[in-house]
Amino acid sequence: MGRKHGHPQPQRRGFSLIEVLIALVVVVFALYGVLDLVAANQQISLRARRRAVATELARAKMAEIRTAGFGAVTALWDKATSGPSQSFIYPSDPAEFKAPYRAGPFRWQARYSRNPRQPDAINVEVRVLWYPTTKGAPEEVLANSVSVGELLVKK
Amino acid sequence: MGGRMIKRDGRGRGLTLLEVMVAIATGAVIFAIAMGVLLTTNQTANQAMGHEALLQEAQVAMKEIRSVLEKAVWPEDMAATAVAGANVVFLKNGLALFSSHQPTTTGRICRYEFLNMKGVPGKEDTQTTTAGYQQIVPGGAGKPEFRPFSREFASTVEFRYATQVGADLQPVWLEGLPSGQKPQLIWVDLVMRDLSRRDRRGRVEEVRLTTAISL
Repeated sequence: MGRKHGHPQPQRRGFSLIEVLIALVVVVFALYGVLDLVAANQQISLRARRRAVATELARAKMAEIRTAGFGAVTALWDKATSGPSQSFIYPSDPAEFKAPYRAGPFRWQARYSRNPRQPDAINVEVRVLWYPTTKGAPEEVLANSVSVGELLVKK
Repeated sequence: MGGRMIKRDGRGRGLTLLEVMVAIATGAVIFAIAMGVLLTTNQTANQAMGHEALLQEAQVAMKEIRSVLEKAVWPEDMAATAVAGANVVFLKNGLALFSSHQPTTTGRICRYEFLNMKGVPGKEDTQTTTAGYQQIVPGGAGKPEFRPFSREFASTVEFRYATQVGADLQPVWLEGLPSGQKPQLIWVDLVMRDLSRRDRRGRVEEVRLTTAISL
């Protein structure tokens, strides 16, 4: 739109292609940011649901260990470890929930520990974690797991 | 058109049809993208709220089941009260027992019957399975009322029982027990479904809560 019929060039001009493209890129980035927020929100929602399910599963495992009792845990401890130890983890790798549980991506592991001053008590911590994200960074593993603890006392 | 301009006044000029069309097209693209994002956001928020509601209902139901089971009273403990028909029934999809959960105003314990009902009471024509329980007051008159775990969602509940735990701390789960026998553990599997919602794969949205309760 240059000069026409010898008229002087008007002071106002339109946007150049590069300006329009830059504006579009800015808009696309803004929309991408909104979409990213939506995806993050979805992840948080999913994590909250998984935490609720994992908490019930952890309580279930804790109930099983409580029912087995102090004697059964001590026997397992002696079998699983050689020599005196203050703690042990069983199973050594996170295990699947056996039937009748239909626990999908969830695995469990229990850590048993005792204080030498309290030989008649074992501290049990059951951790339920879910895959596949548990193979990620430590903080991610922590975020994708739930733990419940209880003191098992010799009766 | 064709670069011909319409002169309006001495200072400015109008827009060519091409410019107007390009502006409209650009606006339409941005509007479409923005609407897409808005709809996705809205859909996701709706989905999240639906999931949240489903999960909350399931958690409340599980809490109610836990409360009843943890306060279970066994027939031998009720010998002095001489309640007629004080039997305990253990089935895979049902459980009947006495509990001190929500005792009557006279302090008497109630019999609870957990079961899956085919068809929601009042809407028997539907094929929905709804889990719930009946609270029966000993000596009470009238038909016991079925209380579904959720008025809004379909649900099922399953039970298993264990009387012993193996050396590897794994319970031996049974689908039923002889009447009256006291289990050490009761496994509860509650599934709540929102039949009005389906996920992207077309599956009905559901929440499954599984736990075990030691007695």
